[in-house]
Amino acid sequence: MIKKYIRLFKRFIVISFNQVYVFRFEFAMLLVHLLFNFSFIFIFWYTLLSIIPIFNGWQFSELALYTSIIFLGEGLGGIFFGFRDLPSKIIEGQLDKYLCRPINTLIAVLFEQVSIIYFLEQIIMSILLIILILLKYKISVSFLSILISLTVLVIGVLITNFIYGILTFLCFWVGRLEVVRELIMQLTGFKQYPLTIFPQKIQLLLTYVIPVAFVSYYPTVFLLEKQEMTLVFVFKLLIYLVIVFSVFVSVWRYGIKRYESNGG
Amino acid sequence: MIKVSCVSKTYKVPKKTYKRSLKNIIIKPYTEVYAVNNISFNIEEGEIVGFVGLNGAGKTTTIKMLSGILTPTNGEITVLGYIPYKERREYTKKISVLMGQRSILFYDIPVIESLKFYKDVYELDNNEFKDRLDYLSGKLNLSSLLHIPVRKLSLGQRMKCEIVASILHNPKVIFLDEPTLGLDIISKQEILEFFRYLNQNFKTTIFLTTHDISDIDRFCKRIIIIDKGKIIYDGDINTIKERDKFKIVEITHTNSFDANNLITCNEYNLISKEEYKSKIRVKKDKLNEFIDFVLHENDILDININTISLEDILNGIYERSEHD
Amino acid sequence: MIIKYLRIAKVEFEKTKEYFLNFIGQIIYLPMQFLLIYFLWKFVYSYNSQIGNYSFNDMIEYYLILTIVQSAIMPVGIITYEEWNDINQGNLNLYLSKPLFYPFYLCYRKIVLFLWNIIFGILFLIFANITILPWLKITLYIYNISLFILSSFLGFMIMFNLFFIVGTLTFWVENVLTLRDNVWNMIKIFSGEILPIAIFPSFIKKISVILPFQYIYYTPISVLQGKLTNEQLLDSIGFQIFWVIFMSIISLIMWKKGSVNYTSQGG
Repeated sequence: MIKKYIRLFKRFIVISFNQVYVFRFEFAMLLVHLLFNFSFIFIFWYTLLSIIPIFNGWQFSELALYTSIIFLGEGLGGIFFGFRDLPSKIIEGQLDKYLCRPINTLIAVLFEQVSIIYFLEQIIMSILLIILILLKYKISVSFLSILISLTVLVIGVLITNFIYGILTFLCFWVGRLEVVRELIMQLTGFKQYPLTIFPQKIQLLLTYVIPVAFVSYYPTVFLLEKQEMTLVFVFKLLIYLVIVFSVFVSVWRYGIKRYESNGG
Repeated sequence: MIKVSCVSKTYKVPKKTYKRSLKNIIIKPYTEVYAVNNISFNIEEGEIVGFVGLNGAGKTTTIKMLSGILTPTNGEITVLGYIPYKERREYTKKISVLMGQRSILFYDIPVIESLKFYKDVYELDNNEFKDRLDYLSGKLNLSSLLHIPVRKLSLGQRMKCEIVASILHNPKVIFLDEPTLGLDIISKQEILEFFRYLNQNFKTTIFLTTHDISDIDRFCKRIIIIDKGKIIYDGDINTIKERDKFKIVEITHTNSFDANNLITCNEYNLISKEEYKSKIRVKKDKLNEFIDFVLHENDILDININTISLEDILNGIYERSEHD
Repeated sequence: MIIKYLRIAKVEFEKTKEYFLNFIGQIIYLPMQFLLIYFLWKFVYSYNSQIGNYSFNDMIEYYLILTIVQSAIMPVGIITYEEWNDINQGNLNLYLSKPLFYPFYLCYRKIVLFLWNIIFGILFLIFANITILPWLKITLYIYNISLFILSSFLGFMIMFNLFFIVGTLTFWVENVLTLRDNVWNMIKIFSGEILPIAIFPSFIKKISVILPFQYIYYTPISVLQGKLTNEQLLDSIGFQIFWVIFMSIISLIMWKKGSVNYTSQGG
């Protein structure tokens, strides 16, 4: 069973590669695109720091690292990219072609659309960038903090994307709902800036309600050892993950039941 | 093989009310609409069955229930001993569903990559896949197309590739939903021929919906007609409405000739009358007599004898149900 | 000749409701966007009370006007996709077989959208100024507003030509969509979408002087905010006009070459 999905995963990588590679010009452009995405955030920070030299105790190198970690998280979250267009697929009845085949519908729908190559490129580039920044600014990090940071990041990516997924699945019941979903997901914009520049209440919101701080702020401070990680934190994080995941799975199950009984 | 007993499917459709109460906004009032209403039929292994109906008659709903996509509201379905919507994982390995207007191939990449994808979906090993692919692409004549991106194929070519992708796993039952939609005559012919070949050589059961009636007439032995969710005919395609007992005689005549003169007994029926042409339905055993009679009329210039077309019969059926 | 295109414009113009909903669709995201902008700049201005010649209120105002101009100009970004799609799907044949000049056709339809959104936008600004944001300092005189509309329109034309040129490239390279995304990003940096050009470090300012991008957003916003002296105002609008003419010529030449190429190969 697992073997089958590993094989399918490889197949999706090949398909994704083919999809990009048929347009050679596109292939080159994707790289440029990634470079851009990185560069203008750096320019933003560079400019801000030239205006105010100390940004709440963050230096340029640290903010660059902060940004790279966000990009890494987005790259990892790329496997959930298929959620974006799921509502229209459900409404047009496009799940049919997987429901009548021996494949997990959710996995198939998610992978069908992901440009895996693009996200792999993003993951590799952000890791390279993180290493580069660490070397260039001679920031030393311990192996343990790398491990902690990465774990928190991965869990954070899962949590935020499961929430995104839950909001997406609501369209099984109410049809087009993308505007509401995007309105809520707009909160992820807050991850661009270090948590501590916001008022206390917003900080709580970003940690516990829409936990975008888990994909940006916390992984960075743990990596830089700006903040100690506590057991309570780990505990909260895991509980959060379990709750969100179980809601995610059950909403999907009920949703697909409804699809089976009412069609697209 | 396929057993459908007393199956109904209802959809919830929002009710149109002009009252705008708070309750109506929060809990939208629904009415239930029957898409399929209490249908039953059995299909044996190796049969080719045509499933015919107008748009919205319940064809697609039925095919979706048979293939496990939709759950019936009432009644029971078993196919190959499986209950489709319950044992989906095992069941779907044994069947194939092909929807004419929905592509299952990846659009921008060569066909072969899509085929390999379905190879992994159906867990075929490499040798099996290769044999099967060689065999099918030889049979359908598309070896040269495998390395071309789907978007560059013509509709007929694409359809053949869709077929290969759908039956790589050698399914026992194939459900076809409008497989010939939009195809030209040659491609249509080739594709139907291919399915007939599968049916004859592997005893593959084929269940086909289409609204192109000429397809069904040539391709299926048995026909099920569904109208407004109910089955109104299930049986041999040649005996439908005693079709085999009559012939249509089409005569071309001079302007002055009145075809009514030919109707000398109630075994002859005038179906249509135009300035130079008339159609008369004649009971088969009276045909010789009729022709003999016609040949002696000087005003008649030409004669054609045809079987009653399925189209005419269906038209008759639908028209009658309109009046109900 | 021109009447035909005016007719297209009129048909588009009559879809008021559709355009209004469209505008609302963009405005709906504003509160959250501004919350973020507010917090960020509140924080930054807690260190400095003045950045360049922007006070805190100026800065918020900058982003507010930016949103209005964006709502009017940004929709032209879609034309690359439309062109790409029409060329690749062969729909272009349909247009070529009609007595329509395709580039004008594309442009006219977007101009209507531009006009609607800029009108809604200005009404929104006036409304906001009276009700919730009385501290806005924008002087909304007829003179001011008409200059702003003119400048925005020139910005719109620059943007249109930019994306039209990228779309026209489809004649030569099959897929241009990621190139388009890259142009988006260029615009993001150098047009003043992220930060006002004036507060950028000098090397970026130097680059943006020779590029057309700052004339898309930064110039119209500065016109309305009254940040430009009369001399600068003339200069800026002059440069806008120069870029519009220059890029239109390139667009037309490329279109001519490309479409000849296309028809000779049979689509």
